Amino acid sequence: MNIRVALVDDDQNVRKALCRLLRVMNIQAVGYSSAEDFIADPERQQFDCLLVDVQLTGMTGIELQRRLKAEQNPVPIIFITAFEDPAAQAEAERGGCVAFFHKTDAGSRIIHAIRQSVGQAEV
Amino acid sequence: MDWVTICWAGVGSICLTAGLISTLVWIRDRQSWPHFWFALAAFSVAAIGVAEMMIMHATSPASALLAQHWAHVPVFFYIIALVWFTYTYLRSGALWLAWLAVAARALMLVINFAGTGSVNFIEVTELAPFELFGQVVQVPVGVQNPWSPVESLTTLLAVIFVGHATFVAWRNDPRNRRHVLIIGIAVVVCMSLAMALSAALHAGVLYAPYFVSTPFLIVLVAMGYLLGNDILNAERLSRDLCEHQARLDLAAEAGGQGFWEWHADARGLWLDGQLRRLLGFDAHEPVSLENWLAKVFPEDRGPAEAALLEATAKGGRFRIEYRVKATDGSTRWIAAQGQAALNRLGKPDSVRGIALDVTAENEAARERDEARRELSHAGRVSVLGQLASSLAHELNQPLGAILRNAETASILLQADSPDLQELREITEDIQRDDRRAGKVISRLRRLLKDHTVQADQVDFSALVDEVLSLLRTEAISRGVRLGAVLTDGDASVRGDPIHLQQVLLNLVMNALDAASHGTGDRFVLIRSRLREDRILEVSVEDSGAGVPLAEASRIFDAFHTTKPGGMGLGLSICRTIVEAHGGKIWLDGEAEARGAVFRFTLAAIPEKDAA
Repeated sequence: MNIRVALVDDDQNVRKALCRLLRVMNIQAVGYSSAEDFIADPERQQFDCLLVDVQLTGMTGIELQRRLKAEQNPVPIIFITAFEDPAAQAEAERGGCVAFFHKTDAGSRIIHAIRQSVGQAEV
Repeated sequence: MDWVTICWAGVGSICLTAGLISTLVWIRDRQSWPHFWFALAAFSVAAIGVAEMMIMHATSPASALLAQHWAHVPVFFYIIALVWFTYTYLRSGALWLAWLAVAARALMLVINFAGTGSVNFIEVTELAPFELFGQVVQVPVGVQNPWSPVESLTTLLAVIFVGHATFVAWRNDPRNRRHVLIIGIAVVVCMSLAMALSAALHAGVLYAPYFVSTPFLIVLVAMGYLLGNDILNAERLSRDLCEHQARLDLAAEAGGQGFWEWHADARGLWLDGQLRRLLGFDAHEPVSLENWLAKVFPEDRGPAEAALLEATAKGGRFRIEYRVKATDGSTRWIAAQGQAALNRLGKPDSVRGIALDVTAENEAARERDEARRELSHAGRVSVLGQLASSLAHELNQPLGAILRNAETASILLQADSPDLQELREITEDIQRDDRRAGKVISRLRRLLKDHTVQADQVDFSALVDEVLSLLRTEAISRGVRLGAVLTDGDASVRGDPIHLQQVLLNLVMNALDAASHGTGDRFVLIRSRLREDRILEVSVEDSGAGVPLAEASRIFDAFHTTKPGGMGLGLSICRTIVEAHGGKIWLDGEAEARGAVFRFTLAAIPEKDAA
């Protein structure tokens, strides 16, 4: 099965690089520069997993998580942050995120988490 | 010897002596023209006296006429001397009248030598005896020349000139009226008398021997009195000057100041005792420009000499500071200021001024700068500490992107035929992100560097951009909109770019703090405006709660803070920096804004100087 993920990050370079890695790893990725853009996309229900930056211009990643939870959207969320912010991490984990990464964490770990979240991880 | 001879010879020798003294004075000081004219008058009176004596002791009418004939030469010179003495001594009188008197007298001299006999007598027919001081002297009797009354009248021109000059001087110079009156009355009374006497003698109305030299002598005495008085005055002035100098020396010594004077032509430098001690010269050692420059630090030599030479060439004032090595081996800072002095032609030919040891002041100023530098550096370190997490974010973004790209590349390279196009794009992206991270680091390095204060030309708009990029993430993380509205005009200022950036950084950080605690639209806005007087006015406005009135007067004080954990140095550093740049910083209480508005001013570089 082809995995489809959405990537919400306001940094264009970061978005481009991660999308490129995912594509090479046979994961389809669509990038959004803000949480608002993602919400506005009518086809947003199609994703198997969300990769969300915590710090976003406008609505933050945590707020997006709450919003989706309120919508009872069960899509798994993986946070990737550039901030060293334990409070945000605790908040995200309370909200039920499947993983919380830093931008400088290894890509293999992120990919493993994606696969795991959609039940495709090789054990 | 008879009394007549004794009297006339005595008068003659007194006149010669006085004339010689004045001649010497004039030779020593060529500008003292009154002495020259007095000497000429004195010699003339002596010569007239000789002629009169020859007439009185004449043995024949012809010899009396000859003496009378030649007497007109000294009389001519006497009148010239009298006119020009008055003109040069009183510094007043109508020049045309002076020349007219001289010309008329010269005409009489021509007539005297052109015709037969003299201008007074066509012929002397006999010598009449006359008893004077118990001695028989000769009085010439003869045919009067028709020009003779005119001759007497020409003297009147000189009298009118002196009378007029006296009147003008009396009116213009109330302090010297006594002296003016002495010369004026002496000339008018005595010369009129001499004129009347000579007219009466030649007309045969008065039967008496020649003694016109007597009134001439009285006028000469009046002239001598004035000149003597001047010498006495000069002596008193020089004594006053000495006392004045002594007082000035005391004052200068108390103030640590020394006097100096430099003449362009003599190449010599005069220094007073105080300055000699300061510069390490012996009390009587001759000092030249070269000697002085040899004491000056090599780096300061060029500017010091240039300033001195320029003042000498162009005139005007100057101020220089230079270092010398004192006799005890320590370095002393000397501040010298001087002003060019003008010569008689109105051209600057020398410079004089004062100099003082400003080592202590310079040292204090240096320590003050040092303290300011250290404090502002500490302030920047502190600000960056507060920004640590947003700065880490700034760095993590490109580093994260680089990592992803590198990971992708290594996966691509495992393929049998790697996608080279993709790999090329990846390396380009890696380089771009690397540069981005590099920029963040160099921005930090600039702020963290403990640099020496500079005075560069700073493009203020670029400086605002730099602060915006530094604080962008911080503003986003606090949910505050950070923006700037900058002046269109060229707004370059002279100053230290890091310090000026720090002012803005501190103000914006404070504003972000205030705005992030507020509600509604949270923003911080930087504005800059170039005023008509070329002053750049910068404001930082926030949407916070504003500064409470009670705090407003103390917020710029050091160690005054309203923030928990704050040092209370931010605004105090801002004020120190802005004031060191010649500007002002204040909290605008009048502005119609929701939150606080801080403003500061800096002098913009004039457009034509801006590069």
